Amino acid sequence: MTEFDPYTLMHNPTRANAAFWEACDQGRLVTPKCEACGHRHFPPQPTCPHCQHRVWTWAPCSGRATLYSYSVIHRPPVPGLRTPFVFASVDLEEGVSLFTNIIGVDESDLALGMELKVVFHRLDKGGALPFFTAD
Amino acid sequence: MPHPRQACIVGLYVTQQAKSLTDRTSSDLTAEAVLGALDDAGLSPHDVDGGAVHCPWAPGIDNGAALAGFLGAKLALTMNDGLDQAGARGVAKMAAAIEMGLCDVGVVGSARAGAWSQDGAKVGAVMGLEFTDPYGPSTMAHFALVARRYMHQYGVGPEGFATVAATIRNHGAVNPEAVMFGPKRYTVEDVLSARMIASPFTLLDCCLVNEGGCALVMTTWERARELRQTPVLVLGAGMEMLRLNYSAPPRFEEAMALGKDAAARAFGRAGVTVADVDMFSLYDAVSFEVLRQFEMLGLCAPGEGGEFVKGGRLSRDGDCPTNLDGGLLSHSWTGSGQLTLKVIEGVRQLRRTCGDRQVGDAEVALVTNAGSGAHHTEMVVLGRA
Repeated sequence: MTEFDPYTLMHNPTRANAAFWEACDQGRLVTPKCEACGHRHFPPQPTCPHCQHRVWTWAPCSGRATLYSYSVIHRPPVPGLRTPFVFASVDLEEGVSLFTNIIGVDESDLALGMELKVVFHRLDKGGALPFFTAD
Repeated sequence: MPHPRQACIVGLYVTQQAKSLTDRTSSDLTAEAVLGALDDAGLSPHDVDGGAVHCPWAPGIDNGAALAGFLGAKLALTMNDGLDQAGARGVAKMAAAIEMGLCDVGVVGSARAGAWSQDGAKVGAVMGLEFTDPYGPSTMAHFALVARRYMHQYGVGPEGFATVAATIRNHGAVNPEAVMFGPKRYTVEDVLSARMIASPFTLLDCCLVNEGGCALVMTTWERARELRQTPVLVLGAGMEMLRLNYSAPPRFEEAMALGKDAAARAFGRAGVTVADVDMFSLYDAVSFEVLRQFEMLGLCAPGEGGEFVKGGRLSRDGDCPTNLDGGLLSHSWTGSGQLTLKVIEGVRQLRRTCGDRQVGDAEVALVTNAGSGAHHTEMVVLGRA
């Protein structure tokens, strides 16, 4: 029996960022890294936000991060999504922040600054999302 | 004496605001609001030559030029983005257009109801943002990230947020136009113990989602002084945009400071300071945002917003009367129209037509839109002529 996969609605990868999602599918986290100044940025945009250089490449990350902030969501944003779940922003070791979900941590154990590591959540429809859990 | 082309707000209209207006459409409500606002001003549809009006023609066809057809008036100006057609941003841009002579009589307005209400009123996650949507945030959750960091930074709980929510909801409870008008009164405890939506925000910390329409009419001082209503001057305006809304996590320092530059610009042009503001119409998509704006405006020290909002300060007879109509938490939230309702409450206070919630002798009002979780803000300083 197949259940409705809410990520069918939520996750819509674009061709422009195919390299990011292919890396996730292979269990690797990557972010744009500027060819000129070496700064990372996220989400991807046409110029480096630090030096405005127009050339960057997808560079690997260690997968280690710290918890910057979070919200436990109790109202499902799309039908079929199991709640509660933890929406969060995390700071990657490489110096960029991204949205994610925290999994495998009780709400009472969530603490800003806690150390996290990436885990890839495989989707029914194919592909994977970078989530984070306690390191 | 104001400059002859000084932009003024001279007409306003608010349709019924309700959980659902099943027999109405967005376009029908917009038409009611625009015509009503012109009537309030004592102007005819043929006087209009500037439009910042959301008037969807059909699902998927949404161009502000359609207003020309609705009014039978040739336009000299349209604004087409939803946020340009509402609130402080719409009024600021229309004021600039009027003052530089792009048009003489401009209308700002929008509505939301029925089958054509696809104007950003989604509760859920799918905004079309590739690196945001998959993680399931509601709009509230974006603001919650800032609020959680705030609690961590200053070692405070959510009681200050709940104080804002209870206060503003009690304002709306006695406003007959408010969606939440009724006998229910709220305590801080009611807010804290309500169902959690996106921690640390409970249901009562979060704004409504409902239907309704509204519009306002603007023109030059030269023309405004001949019209039937007390003109309200757009004394100053400011805006700030950090990045594409909701595309990246808010950072605490920049989120807390969001609006400082806009306020400096708005108050600088107005020639007044925040201490001169008699009435605040602050963006309250979520309770926390009101507290944040008081800190941003420098009315209290960082981390002290929770104490600042206590003791009736935000009520009609307090030092900082705020959202006396009930705001987005209790009066109405309609996609973009609620931003215009914030301006309308400021205008009504300066016209001194607010009845039981009137701030006596109100001369200056501050109206703000959007905020920290949204990565942008707009504000206008309004003054009684």
